[in-house]
Amino acid sequence: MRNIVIVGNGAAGNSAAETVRRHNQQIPIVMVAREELPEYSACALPDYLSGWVNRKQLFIKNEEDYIQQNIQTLLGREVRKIDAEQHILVTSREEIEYDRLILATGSRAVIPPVPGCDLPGNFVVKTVGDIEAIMLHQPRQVVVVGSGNIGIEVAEALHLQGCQVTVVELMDHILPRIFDSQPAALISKMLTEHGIRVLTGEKVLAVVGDAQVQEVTTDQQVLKCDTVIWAAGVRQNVENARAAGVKIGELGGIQVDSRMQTSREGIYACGDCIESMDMLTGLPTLSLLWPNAKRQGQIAALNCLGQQVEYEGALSLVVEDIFGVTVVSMGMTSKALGSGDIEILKGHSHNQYWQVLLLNDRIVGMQAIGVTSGLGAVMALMKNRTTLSEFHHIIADPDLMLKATWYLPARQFLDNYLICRSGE
Amino acid sequence: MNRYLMIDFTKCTGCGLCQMVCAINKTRQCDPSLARIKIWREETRGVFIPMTCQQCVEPSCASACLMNVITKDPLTGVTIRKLDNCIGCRACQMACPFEACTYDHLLEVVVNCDHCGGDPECVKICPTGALQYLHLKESLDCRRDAEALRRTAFYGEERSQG
Repeated sequence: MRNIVIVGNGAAGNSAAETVRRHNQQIPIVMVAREELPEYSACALPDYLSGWVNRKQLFIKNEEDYIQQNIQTLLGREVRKIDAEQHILVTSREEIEYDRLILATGSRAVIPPVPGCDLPGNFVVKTVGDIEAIMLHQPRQVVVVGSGNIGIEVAEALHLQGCQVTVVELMDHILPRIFDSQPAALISKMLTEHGIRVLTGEKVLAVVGDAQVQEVTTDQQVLKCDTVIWAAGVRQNVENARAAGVKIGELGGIQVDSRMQTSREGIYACGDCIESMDMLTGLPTLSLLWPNAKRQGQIAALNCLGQQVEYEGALSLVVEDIFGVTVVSMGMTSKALGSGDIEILKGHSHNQYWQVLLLNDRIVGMQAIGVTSGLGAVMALMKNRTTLSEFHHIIADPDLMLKATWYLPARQFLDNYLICRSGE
Repeated sequence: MNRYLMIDFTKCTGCGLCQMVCAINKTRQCDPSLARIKIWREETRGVFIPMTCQQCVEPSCASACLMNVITKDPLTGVTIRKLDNCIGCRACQMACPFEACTYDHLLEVVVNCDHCGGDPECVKICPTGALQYLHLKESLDCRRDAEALRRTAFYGEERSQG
């Protein structure tokens, strides 16, 4: 093999590059990326905004790390075209011949086309540049549109910076993709108690202002503000891939098989830009989470090197810190599962809440507020597709239990809920 | 990986000295919740299970980490963390099936057992020998002997009954 070219310098791209380098010291790796920065953690951007981490801590690698790993970086390049026939990648400055191409182009934040969305004072949160633009703008009164995990984290960060924050969510509860309505209501209450205004079921119709943002009009009211932050979703960067004849899936991501191979020979894809398979349902999904992107990068790299490794599927794991309370969501929500035969086990105490979703006696989702112990073991049960009856059988047998000692924390968590359920 | 922290659950009495010495050694605080080793207790059956980082070959904490601070030490095989970059998001804690990541609320970072750099304090203080720090070969020998003993005892019992 002559070389491996990676497009994208995010979690998936770097994970792929490092995996290749770990398995093969010789093969040249070329990394092409748009931003002229070494790898940084996009997940910590809201923490940078709140001042919890500084700019230096944000960066995972520095320039020397790339040299040390013998990765050639071509930063600040836009990809213009992929010639899948001739195996040539055309960037804004050069043409690169590739033997294997890994697309880790990621996604970009979208601003819905409402009037006034181009006024100064509209921001998204996706890159370091976006965060620095927000800081430079010195926001006072902020409207955050969208309440996914990024929306909530940004709202909290700006609140800690002394801003007056309002969150506007189109759906009937906040964090709609990762939480069910009951825990979401509790999180919403926590935010409200700390002084963040949360509006659900409202649609933003327009951003109004003369030279810059002054108001946001929703279908119910007018919100005065000087800054609008759009956290209303992302779109996959697939344009170049589509033009090269790579098949795009129904959800808008690059279609890949379980080896991260696209429909064109020699082109692999991983990270936010692909449609992967959900570990629990087997259905196509856009995972958009850091750990999944890293794993997909590894899989793509190993298959590029000729190993036959299959991806086990994407699993959602979101951990948020809401004013010092740890909030966790794993796996599916009951909305995503539809109306099937889901059993929901739940419990709460004065400042904790937890619920476990069961489908055919297997754990398929877990949401918890204020609980931190035992969750890792529950996640392992979910990944291993252990049925609860099998779990209880093993736990009840003292010899078997000593062979699977990690069941004990899960048991303490699951039993906790049982105590509460009987008490309800 | 050259040395293992072997845990023999059957010998553990749940005294908690390992937790205490770990917390004192690592943080100078007499607070077992800061210890890198935890004992899971089930008093009704008298089961005490000391749990600490299992030093997985492909650690799920490392893949969950949002800041890529967790790596494997190429020499010792121990799972190590660059704590300067840890933002304390606890994703690793949720991904670890062994509950072996500890949130250090003093430093506001998540930590795991690092074998005290090759001389674990918990092993030195364990009064029953439930914790041992062994070379790979020794630890395998140890496990084989224990299993052999358990089986002979089990079959011996059956034979005397039958």
